[in-house]
Amino acid sequence: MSPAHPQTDIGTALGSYDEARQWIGRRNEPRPMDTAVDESRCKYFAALCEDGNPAYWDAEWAGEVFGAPLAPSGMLMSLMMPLPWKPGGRSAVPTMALDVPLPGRTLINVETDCELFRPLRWGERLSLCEEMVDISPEKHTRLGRGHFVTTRLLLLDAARQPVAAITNVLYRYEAAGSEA
Amino acid sequence: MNERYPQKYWTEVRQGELLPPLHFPIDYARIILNAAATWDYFPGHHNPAYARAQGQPDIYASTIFFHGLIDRFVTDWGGPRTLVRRRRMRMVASAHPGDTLSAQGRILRCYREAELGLVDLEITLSTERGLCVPASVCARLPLDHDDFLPSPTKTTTP
Repeated sequence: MSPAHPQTDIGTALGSYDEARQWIGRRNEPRPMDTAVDESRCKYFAALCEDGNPAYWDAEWAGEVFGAPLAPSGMLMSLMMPLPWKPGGRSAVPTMALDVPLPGRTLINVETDCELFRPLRWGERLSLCEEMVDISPEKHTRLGRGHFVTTRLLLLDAARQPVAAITNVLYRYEAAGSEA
Repeated sequence: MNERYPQKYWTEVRQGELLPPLHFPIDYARIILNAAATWDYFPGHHNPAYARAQGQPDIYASTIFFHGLIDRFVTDWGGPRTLVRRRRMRMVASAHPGDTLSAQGRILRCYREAELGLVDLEITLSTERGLCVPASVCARLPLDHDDFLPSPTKTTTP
């Protein structure tokens, strides 16, 4: 977190590109996810995509083949999302791409590269490690002026073994002609 | 093993093979379901005023939804013992309520890596306005019906 910097309603920290550059190479300690990989989230996600893959729906078959029913591989990034509230108040989970101080108040995701080292099974508990890889100089796009922020996310299992790695690029920008 | 569900094997697929296209309509309910199912409550996914202030015409589907649709497209074709090992994608346009996402794909390469049978796939998601998400996926297919996947305790390689 960067408490010294003002934050927008969506939690983006505001600051200069020079300040942001100092974040490159920074890495967070692994933090545990709020909940385990559970059946209801897996099925709800499969329902979103109308994905009838029996690895997510047929527990008996999936148990025989994979050892347990699986989480849809596409839902990996949703497992990193915090609960919107916990006792004590709203979750304040650090997310580097929002926390890094930059002029852009809003954001949009641009690119992902996901490596899945093994399937994820119901019941697993995961931790997340984040690293700031790069922040581009200011760019101009049809959406507005901003910076491309590249982070690397490493998901670890209960034995602290990596189960997936994601390189994510998002655009932190100031919307052209309006205030998002 | 007996296949309870249809499954393709690595030995029976070929470079150039086309995946059956998938068409997926997007409406407001789907975008809201997107936020609920992924816990991704970024306001661009549920607040039209915020999305417009961002320069978007309306709320839009999230990155995680595209991940799910691409992986579904791959496993619909390959079968449930198909595992996505790597997925790369760029979002060059957004998908909004009223759009229909169309997925197309083909096999770029079939190859072996250690004991695994792998395919590289080129995939696109498009709307009526044009290309939305170009993607590439590396997926593992069973070599044949006897190619069991490793148990969760033996290895971390899919």
